[in-house]
Amino acid sequence: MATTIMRTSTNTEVFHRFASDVGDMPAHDISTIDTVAQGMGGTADFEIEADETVVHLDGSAVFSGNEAIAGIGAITKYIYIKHTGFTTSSKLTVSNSLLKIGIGDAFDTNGGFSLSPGEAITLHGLSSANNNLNKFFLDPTSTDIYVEIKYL
Amino acid sequence: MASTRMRVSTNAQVFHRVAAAGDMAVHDVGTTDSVATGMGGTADFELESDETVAHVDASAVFDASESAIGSAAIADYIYLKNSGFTSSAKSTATTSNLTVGIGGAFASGGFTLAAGEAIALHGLGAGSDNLSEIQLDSSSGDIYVEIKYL
Repeated sequence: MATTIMRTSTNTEVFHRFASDVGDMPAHDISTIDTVAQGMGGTADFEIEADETVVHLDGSAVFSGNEAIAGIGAITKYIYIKHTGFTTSSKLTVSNSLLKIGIGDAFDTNGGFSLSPGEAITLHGLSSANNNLNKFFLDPTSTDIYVEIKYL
Repeated sequence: MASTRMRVSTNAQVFHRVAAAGDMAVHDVGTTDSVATGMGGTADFELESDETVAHVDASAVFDASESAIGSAAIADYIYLKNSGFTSSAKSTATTSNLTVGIGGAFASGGFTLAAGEAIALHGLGAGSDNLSEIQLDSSSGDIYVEIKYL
């Protein structure tokens, strides 16, 4: 028998971007020298089930300009949310909308965070106030966003 | 003049760990469940339209009593890491989990960071854009939490 484990890794960098509007200088990025904003990231392994008999669920969907719940379904272990950067599952049309995510209630009520195009987040060990898809509120700032949602 | 940007990369993997048995060593094997593969992403986005920024370090030790991080507006982002140690000296490891309450106490909504795990949140809602609206709680003993924000 085996256990089921999740490994999450994150890396966050801060940098400055110069536009290509000065003589013959091309656009370029340069890292911050602010020591506070350096070395940000981490990795962790943690058990999500004591055995190997698990069935991960896919709740991916398109979200439009109105705030809506992610669905209905208990989240016992983790939820993974990715702003794909596209408007549909066919991934043909790019979306530059920001995806607002309300935690436990609407984004403007209890608070939450945002995902930029291409950004993904994995949350686990959820509170009883947001351990169901219907406690995650997703809201694109403008155009549709196809959001990858996986959970267990 | 330059803008100030942040690049966030995340990756999540699911695997099974098979315990040692007989002459078989403990080993990990990736899941074959297609739903739980290919999880991760990268984004870069503007924090400020100029380069004049001063990131703030609010790192501190949190114990098993839930408490707010402090009191200060978070304009752009907050970075949290369960360092996996009990103090800033990082001489004593801890496997305690850190609950993160969003919009107030964990009971109102939130998630957990395992030892070594970090997260960066940006574009915060009005209910969670101040250090006073994010509450931290160790599952047991002290945890030194790295906290940076802008």
